[in-house]
Amino acid sequence: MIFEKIQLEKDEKVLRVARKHWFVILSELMGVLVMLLIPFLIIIILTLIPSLTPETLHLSTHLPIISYFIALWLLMSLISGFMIWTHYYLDLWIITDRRIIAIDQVHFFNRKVSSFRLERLQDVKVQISGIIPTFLNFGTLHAHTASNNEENFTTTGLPDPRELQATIQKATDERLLTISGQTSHLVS
Amino acid sequence: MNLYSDLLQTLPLQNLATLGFLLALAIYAVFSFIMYYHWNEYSVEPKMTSLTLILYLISTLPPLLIMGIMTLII
Repeated sequence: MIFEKIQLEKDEKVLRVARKHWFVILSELMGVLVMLLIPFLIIIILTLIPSLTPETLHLSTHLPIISYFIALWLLMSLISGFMIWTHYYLDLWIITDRRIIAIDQVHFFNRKVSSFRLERLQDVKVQISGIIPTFLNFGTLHAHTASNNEENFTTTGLPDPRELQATIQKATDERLLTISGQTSHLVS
Repeated sequence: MNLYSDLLQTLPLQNLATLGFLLALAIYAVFSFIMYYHWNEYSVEPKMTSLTLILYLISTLPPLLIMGIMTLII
């Protein structure tokens, strides 16, 4: 499992695990649902309007070959649906009390895992644009680090981005207080 | 039309269906392995992993089975 791979530090607490809003996956899976229904819709149309059926094709006599292709179509549609679900579910932000870990499952063989420490965080921006994102409260979250060399993190379609921003900022403040406390203790 | 009938004569429908089924079976096997690997390695919730993999098998095996049966009938 992923937490074994990430190897959290001693006493590191996971504050929040965030993945994209349900609307994102729903809109993507709607396409798959339409794909799944297409062969059945064609059969219904051809049954209702027999004049549309090619003369050489008879639904009753060609049933095995029609079933074969429908099964193939359904299999491919289901595979694409599970591919979409996998990308959605394995794509996540893990916010701990020490760092942010952004996992981006681009494709099956393209996985990007980025991590940066909260004390290096400079700015967290939230962007909600559009009617549906406004009503359903999801948007884009940009996290900028202090270093120019480090990559900035951007994820679209995150649910309740303002709450997520608040969690990150609170965790950052607490982290900075802890670090300054440790430093003053070392100096004294 | 000639090309179509010539193709059917050299490669009968039965052989084409078997070839298609074996190809689909190979793609399915590779995809299933990749899927299993990804969910086992990168998931954060074992319960959701099991649920997804069970749902995957339940929904994808019947069309594959139908394809296999139809390959024998064609």
